[in-house]
This record gives sequence, structure tokens and C-alpha cells, in this order.
Amino acid sequence: MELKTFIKRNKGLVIGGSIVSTVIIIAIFASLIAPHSFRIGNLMDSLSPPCKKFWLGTDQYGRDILSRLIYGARLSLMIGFVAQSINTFIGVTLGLIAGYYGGIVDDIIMGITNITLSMPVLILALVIMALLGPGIINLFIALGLVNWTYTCRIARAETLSVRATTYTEAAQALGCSSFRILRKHVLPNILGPILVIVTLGVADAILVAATLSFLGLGAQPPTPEWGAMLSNGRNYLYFAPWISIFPGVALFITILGLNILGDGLRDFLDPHLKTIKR
Amino acid sequence: MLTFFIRRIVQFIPTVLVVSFIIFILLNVMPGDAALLSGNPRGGIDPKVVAALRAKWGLDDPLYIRYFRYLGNLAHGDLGISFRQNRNVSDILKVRLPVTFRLAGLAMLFASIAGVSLGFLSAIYQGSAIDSVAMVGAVAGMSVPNFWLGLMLMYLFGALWRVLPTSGYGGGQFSYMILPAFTLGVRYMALLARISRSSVLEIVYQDYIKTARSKGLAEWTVRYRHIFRNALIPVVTVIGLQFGGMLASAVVVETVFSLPGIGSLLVQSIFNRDIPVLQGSILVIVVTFLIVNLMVDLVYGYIDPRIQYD
Repeated sequence: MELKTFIKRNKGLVIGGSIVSTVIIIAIFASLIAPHSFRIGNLMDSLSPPCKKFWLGTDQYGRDILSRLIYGARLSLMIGFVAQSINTFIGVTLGLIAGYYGGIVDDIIMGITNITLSMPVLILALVIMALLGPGIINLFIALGLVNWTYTCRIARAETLSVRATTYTEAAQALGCSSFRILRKHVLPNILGPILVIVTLGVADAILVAATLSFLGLGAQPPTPEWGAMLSNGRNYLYFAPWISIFPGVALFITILGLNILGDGLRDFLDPHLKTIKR
Repeated sequence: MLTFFIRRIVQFIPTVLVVSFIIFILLNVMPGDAALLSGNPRGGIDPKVVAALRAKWGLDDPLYIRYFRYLGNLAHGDLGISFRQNRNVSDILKVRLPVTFRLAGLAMLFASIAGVSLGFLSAIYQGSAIDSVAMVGAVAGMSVPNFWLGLMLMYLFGALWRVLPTSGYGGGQFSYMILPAFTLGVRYMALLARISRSSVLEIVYQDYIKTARSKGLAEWTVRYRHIFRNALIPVVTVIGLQFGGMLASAVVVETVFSLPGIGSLLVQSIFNRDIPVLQGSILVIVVTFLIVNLMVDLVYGYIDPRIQYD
């Protein structure tokens, strides 16, 4: 397929992919791109509105908002990807086991999944953060433990369909171990739908992390986390709105990019949905 | 169908018990000491008072005794006494709960009307400018962080234009609920717009729609009687399922707009280590979430007669 045709047919994939790639590049090269220090400010420049020197203004300590946003991209993406990796690991492992072995193992795993699903993600994350205390590492753990249920359900459903295929039967007949069948035959065939849910899950994890930081339970000042920056800007909203505006814009664009990418991936991998979208 | 109803209701009770157990354990092993926090932050607190408070609140007892006592009290509708306010948690929640339900109800009303209308319009005019704008708006609505949206609305409507109150409950005046309800509802509006659109698009290519058109029915009748009503089935389910999630999101919106609901109470009680209030508010949110999900399951059969339960 020509590049032009591919782009035309997969707009979501291209637009979302471009936004996410840009944020990743900014995060990787933060130290080269950031015009000022994200940590140290000059009190003489405090609450400076956007100007030539400080493109997005400064906060109450005179720290450059743009530089803090650039470093914040690194942190937000890290939180999103680490938390989602933990979620994916737990969800896929439990889903594979439940779907492949069935019976009582399936009942127990799905029971745990349903109980976890019965508590809203944000509430569960709040409880875990209250238990562990604020901080980035605790944020990874809390977010990693709360959002695995959808991945588990999808992995289980996909495993059930792959388990019924003739190539899985053939592998069993040849005497392959269950671990080998799961790793070599089942896992590669369920990756498509998992990839979609992982992409959308990264967006969710970034959003919940920012929400927790905004409430004062996640990253703590002076960490340049976007949610914490927004929370910091609340007290200055009426006379220095730029402190709150720009971290929100950064958060919005990143989540938007991930959501568009997730949708694009789903359309790319599921021709049926594409017919509906037309 | 009756068997399904009974089975679903029987499943509900152990779920609530397990959830209450998890919440109890997580909150009661939480670090921090509510008795110590009761003292004056500058001058400290007399160790004798701390010991007396710990004894009064039963914090010295083993965890399992505390759990069974909690469960026994819960069976009588007693959620305990607040460590900080020295009042019955049930009384505190009784005052707070209507605010949260009102907020979530208004937000859902707005999300349902706006979301379903947008989704249906978008599907009917598929591929047009309306469709593109509505769907771009829906993805944007799904991605916007509600606490940021709330702050921006506060800035625009409160500071810049000064047309709407931005903080507090105002004794229940409607104007105080407009911004919070919109902030809470936007994400759900976007979700409902997307689901309504795909639900309609699943139906418009069905054979019975072609039949309806080919037998000469008016376009309005086809749209309303054959498309709209059938497409509403999954939408109604999603509205029900999202209501519980909305109560959880209210935690953030109430904090932003300083609304005296159960969500802001929950956040305050985390910082105060007021475990009975925290436990009570989380339990109320989770049980409401479970009840709404149960009700959606139970009414689903009535909405869609094609569903077979057994």
C-alpha cells in the first residue's frame, strides 16, 4: 500500500501517532529543549505573564512554566507507560491463565476481576494512595494495581477463542507444555486487541495520575507533574491563569493523542468497525 | 427470567461484603494516627489524651475484632462516629449525599440529552461536516481533564465575565450547579455521543430498515420508530452504567468547585485520617455503583425483549 493511501485510510493512526511521537521526543530531549531550569526560579520573575523571555510565563517562585511542562512530559509519560506495563502484565497473565485453564481457576480469577471492577478506578486509586502515601513510586504502584481488569477480560475472551483453534489442538497433540502453548501460540494471536486497550490505558493512567496529584495525593511539589502544577496554579487562577492553563493544555493534547491513536489502532485492526465508521 | 433476577440479587450480597472487607482492611492499615492528629499541630497533644482517644475509638483492638464490630454496626445502619466531627457518620452523609446525587443527576441529564442528540445527528448525517465536528468534539470531550475544565470555566465565567457563581453550593440554587454539572457531564456526553453514533450506524444498514424504506414509510417514521428506538437500547445501558462512575468523578469536581458533597468529604477525610467518614463515604459510593449496575442488568430484559436470561 502506498504511503499516501495508508495515511488517507488510517487518519487516526497517523494523527494520534504524530501527537504521541512528538510528546515522546519532547520528553526524551527535555534537557536540550527546555530553555530554563525547571527546578530553580528567580523570585524577581515570579508570576510573570507569557513574554519573550518566558514564553508561557512563570509561577509564584519565578520558575519557567514551559521548562516545567517539558520535563513534566517525561514524568507523565513515564507514569502512563510504567503503570500501564504493570496493568498489562497482571491483566494479560491472569487473562491467559483464566482463558486457557478454565474451570475453577477461571472462576477464581474472574471473581477477583469482578470484585475489582465493582469499585470505581478513581476511588480504588484514592484508597491505595491514602494507604501508601503520596509520591511517584506509590503512584506507579496504585495505578498499576487498579486498571488491569479490562485487559484481563479481553485477554481471557481472546484466549478462549484461540484455545478452540486447530493449531492450539495440534500443539497440544504434539506434547507442547501449557507454558509454551501460551507463550508461542496464544499470546502472539491475542496481541491486537490488547494493543488497543494498552494505548487507551496509558491515557487513562496519565489522567488518573494527574487527578491524584491535583488532589494532593500523587506527585508532590516541586515535582513538575502536570496535575500537581495545575493544583499549584489554583490559588493564582484569577490573577495568573497561565499557571493553570498550560499544564492542562499539555495534559489534554497528550491524552487526546493517545485516544486518537487507540481509536486509529482499533479501526486498523478491526475491519468490521471500519465498515461502520465508513 | 425470575431465576436470573434471584441469582443476580444473591450475587450482590457477597460482593458488597467482600468490597466492604477490602475497604475496611485497606483503610485500617493506613499509616497515620487519627488520635495524634486531633491535637494542636503547634503544641502537640498530651499522651494521656491520645491513649484515651485510641481507647474510645477502639483503635487498640485487633483488626479482626474491629472488623466484626464494624460489620455488626453496619447491619444496624450505623457507620460509626467521625473522629474529627464527633458526629454520626450516617448523619454527615445524609447532609452530603443529596448534593452529590443532585450534581450527578444534573450532569447525567445534560450528558444524555446532548450526547444522544449529537450522536444521532452525527450518524444520520454520516460523513458530513456535522459528523466530523461532532466526532472530533467527542474525542476532545473524552480527553479533557475535568479538573482543568472546571478551573477554566471558573476563570471564564467567574473572573472574566462574572456571570455565574464558581464556588460553593449557594443553599442549593440552580446557578451554583451549572458549571459543576457541565464539567462533570462533558466526558460522559462525549462517550454517549460516540456510542449513540455507532449504535445507529449498526442499525441503519440492517435489512429491516431497507424494508421499512422500500415499503414507502416516511423518513421521519423510519428514523424515529425503527432506528432511534432500537439504537437507544445500548445507550440506555451505558447511561445506567456510567452513573455509578460519575459518582466517583464527582470527587474531583466537588473539590474544584468547593461543593459540600460526599466527594469533597472523602478527600478531606483522607487528609484528616477520619477513617469512619472515609469508610462510610467510599462504601456509599461503591454500593450505589453496584446497585445501579444491578438495576441496569435487571431492567435490560425489559428494554430489549430479545435478551434471553437463561
